[in-house]
Amino acid sequence: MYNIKVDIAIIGGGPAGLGAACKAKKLGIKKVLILERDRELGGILPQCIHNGFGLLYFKEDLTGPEYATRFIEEADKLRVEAKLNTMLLEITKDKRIFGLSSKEGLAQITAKAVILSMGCRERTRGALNIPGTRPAGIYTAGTAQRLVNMENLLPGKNIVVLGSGDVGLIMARRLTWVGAKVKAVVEILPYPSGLTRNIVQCLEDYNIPLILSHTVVDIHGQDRLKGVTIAKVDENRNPIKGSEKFIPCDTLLLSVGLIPENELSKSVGIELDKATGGAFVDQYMQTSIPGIFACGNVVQVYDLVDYVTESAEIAAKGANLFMKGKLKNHRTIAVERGENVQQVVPQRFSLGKQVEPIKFYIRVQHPQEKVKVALYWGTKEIFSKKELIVKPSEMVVFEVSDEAIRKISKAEKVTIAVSKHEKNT
Amino acid sequence: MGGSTTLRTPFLTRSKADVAIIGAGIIGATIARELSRYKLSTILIDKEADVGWGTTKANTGVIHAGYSEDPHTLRGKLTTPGNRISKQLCEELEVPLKRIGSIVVSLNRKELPVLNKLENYAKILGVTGTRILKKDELHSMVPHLTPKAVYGFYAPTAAIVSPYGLAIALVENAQANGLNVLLQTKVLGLEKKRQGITLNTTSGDVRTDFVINAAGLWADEISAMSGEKEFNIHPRKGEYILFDETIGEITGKIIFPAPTPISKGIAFAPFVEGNYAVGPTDEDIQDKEDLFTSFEGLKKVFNSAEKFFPEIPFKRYMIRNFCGLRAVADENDFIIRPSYNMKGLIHAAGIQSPGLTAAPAIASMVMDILKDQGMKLHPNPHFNPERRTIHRIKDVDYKTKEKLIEGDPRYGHIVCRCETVSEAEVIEAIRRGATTLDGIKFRVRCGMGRCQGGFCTPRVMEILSSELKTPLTKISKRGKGSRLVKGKVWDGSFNV
Amino acid sequence: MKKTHKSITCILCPLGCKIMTIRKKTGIRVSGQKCAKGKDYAIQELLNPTRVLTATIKIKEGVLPLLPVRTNLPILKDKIFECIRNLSRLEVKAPTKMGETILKNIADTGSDLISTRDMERVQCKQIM
Repeated sequence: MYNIKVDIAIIGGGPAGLGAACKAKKLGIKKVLILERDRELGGILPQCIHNGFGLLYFKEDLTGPEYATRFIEEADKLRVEAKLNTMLLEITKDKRIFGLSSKEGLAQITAKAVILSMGCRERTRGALNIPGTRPAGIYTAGTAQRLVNMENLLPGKNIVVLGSGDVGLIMARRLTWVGAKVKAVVEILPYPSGLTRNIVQCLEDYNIPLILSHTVVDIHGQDRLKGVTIAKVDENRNPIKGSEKFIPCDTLLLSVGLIPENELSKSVGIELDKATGGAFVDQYMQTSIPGIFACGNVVQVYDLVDYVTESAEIAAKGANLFMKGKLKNHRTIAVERGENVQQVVPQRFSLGKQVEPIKFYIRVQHPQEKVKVALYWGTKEIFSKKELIVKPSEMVVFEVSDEAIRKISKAEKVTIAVSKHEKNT
Repeated sequence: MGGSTTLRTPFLTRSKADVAIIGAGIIGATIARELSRYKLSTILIDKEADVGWGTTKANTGVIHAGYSEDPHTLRGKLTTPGNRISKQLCEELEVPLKRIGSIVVSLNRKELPVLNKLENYAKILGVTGTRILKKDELHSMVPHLTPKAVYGFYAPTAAIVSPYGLAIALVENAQANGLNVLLQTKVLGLEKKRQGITLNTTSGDVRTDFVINAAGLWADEISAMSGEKEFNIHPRKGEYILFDETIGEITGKIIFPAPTPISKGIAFAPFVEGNYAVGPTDEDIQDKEDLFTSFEGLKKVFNSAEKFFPEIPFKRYMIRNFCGLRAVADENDFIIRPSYNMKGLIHAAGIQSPGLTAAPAIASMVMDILKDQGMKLHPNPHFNPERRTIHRIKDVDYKTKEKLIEGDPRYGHIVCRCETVSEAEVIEAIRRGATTLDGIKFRVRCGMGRCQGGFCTPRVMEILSSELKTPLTKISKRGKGSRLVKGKVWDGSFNV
Repeated sequence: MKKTHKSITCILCPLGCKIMTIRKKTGIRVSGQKCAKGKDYAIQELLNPTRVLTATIKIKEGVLPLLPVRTNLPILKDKIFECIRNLSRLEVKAPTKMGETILKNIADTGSDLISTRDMERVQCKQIM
């Protein structure tokens, strides 16, 4: 058995893991090890060959592989260590990690702090319970993306995309660009789930119809997909009888949401938030187990990779403070979700001697115009910010000043809510 | 391991066999394995690309105790002995069988006579250990059960097994003992010759002395090839929902509602692999290829799940739904007898529930008929009843994991992350006969987990392509017509 | 020149204003935007819409069969398919580095096709 000791073990070498590793090194931490199951670092980015990455973090419009390469090169320079092709089996509360690899067999890593950065996975057909047959030709958008962009394989020629998540939109354009016909993007909600930029540049540019308030109600074809039946849905998302329409196609792509990949977190007993699907974290991205931090899409599905990197750097800072013994015994204040707030991270925060501003990453439940995003202590508004519009597809980042944080030092819990702001123009 | 032959062994090195079995479901597979005990040349023919892909594949996987059928029927008579033999069979073949017991739950005091009837059947048929449970004991045995449940009927001998896992193991073992397998082959006709029968198939003619009709849903059509249709088979559709193992142990036992005259009802059955199935519904239909799940059917499954276990948040744990068609003869019993029209043709048809349980007893009944019909049975001196399972890196302790990787580093390369399946296991599955994505899935569980193949599909495709020396573009989900991709992205033909 | 209408969705902020443009002999009329930037965007989109093209090309002896590429500058939207036709026939040989120019002035767009990642040769797998 391969057996090593490190300062920080980072689980997953995607953008979150890479960001955390680089930051940790820059903070002066000596032994930083990334454990990655794939044959290379970068996570999902190598298959995201489109641009739109790094607009906030690098102030540049990069492609996925470019964003990844920047971090991989930096990690290399900073002498971050990485074990590739290593599949983790178990993490224990005392921060021992067990993994498997072809090269080294069983590996045991003992760490002073652990940062979880396993990312997320795609929701599948089964999770939606779509009825019908089970032919070949049904892929999640991400799997199709890998086939097209990394394996030189074309999943199909006549495509319907279910769900208007960003990966689905990107793939609608990508498949159009390699000669396939994308017949429609079908979305169950009355508004799209992806970024406006993607609706315009991936669908409108190529006259691909976006069919809102519809879903797939039947799947046809025994061996290979022959078509799907779509139907309009009512406000409770139930299909309306009589509105069915058949669309012939050989491929159905599912872009119906991402789920934080928390099987390892569950196995070590980390408390998970049902709203985000990820761990409950504080403002240092520390989970319910001291010394185990989490960042990126394993905590909450972010809409931009830039936010993933941001959360990773916070986690690295947190791990550094933890190792220096500076995260002990602080009282925590819970952050509750108020009106029109679907998710908020962090879900709690603690107050030490030093108070710093805290950034909250919020996803709303439904689109709303002219709103105020505010932090309340009881009924008292402590801090607020106006927004012209909020949408579930685009996160609201809400930074609360240190001054405001100091005002609530005695609170048990605070609430973040999004509400109509009448005076807003 | 499983012997040197695989399902890909091209047949027709000799086109004469002593026995041909049509249908490689659990029935055909069990009969084939039984025949491999003797010095016979046997060929097993199936239209699909793998074994067990009809009714066998979409099944609750319950080895019933044997109390639920009328003792005067074959279904009643063959189930209890089938249950008994299954245990030894599974031990020989290293197929996990878990004897977890079943409970028929009644939500209504008026159903007590139904439970009493089951107990009476159990007595007549020799089912051991059964008893009626009163409310307190029932609830202590099944903690999350609805408070409305009043009585239970407990049968400790009921068990669970993977039905396709068993079919695969039976065929592997039979092959090691000399069986020939001919897949992706449809039987088009039967011709009575002066000596024996000739089968016209899509892969050519096969001459044989005996034909066993284990064609499941199509057994009536095979019977018609004897000159006249001897019975009628219709599909009884059953829809299921599969839940992730993280739903936790809802119950350690198989739970049935009180039965109706046509069905044992929507059951709650843990799968041996840890997932949890709820189903099937019951719908007599006409179309033998109607494998559509429906909103209505799935709703029925859901309603039943919530009725029995109102506390369990089923919705959150759904993995997928599936549909199976049980082959029901119009007389509602098994048909196991020689053909009236063609000498040498023997039917093992209408094998609906509890066919999986009864299979070993059906096979011995078929052996008796073959003897009656004059077949000579000389023991095969090389017969080895044992078959080794594929080592699963997931299932062994850390020390064994290390040893496996030392022996074959590909055990350290995990290709399916939800089910922790290594490259070595996938390669072994291919060596034993898997040629398709589903073939791999049913042997080593790649793609059975939470992500439903999202992660492992491209990786398994690569391994299939390199092991089978087939281009990636020709790799299929389940054989002909189900290729996974439509070509290469850049193959020189782009012109938009 | 005839009068033409075109609706443009602004992507500059989450508001996603639907901006109506009317092109007449006398000039362009823009309405529906909620800010001045929106007007400039709409005119740009109407007269001279450009996009960055991202794609893959075949690569020999690489750890992967495809190399991701992009145009180093945005190109005219109308030129996208011509560029794809050109790059669909390209093939390079590993190893390559990120940022290498694969094809200069692709389809006369004034933009170069560059690679967007390093690609090792298949024999020496990347191990950090």
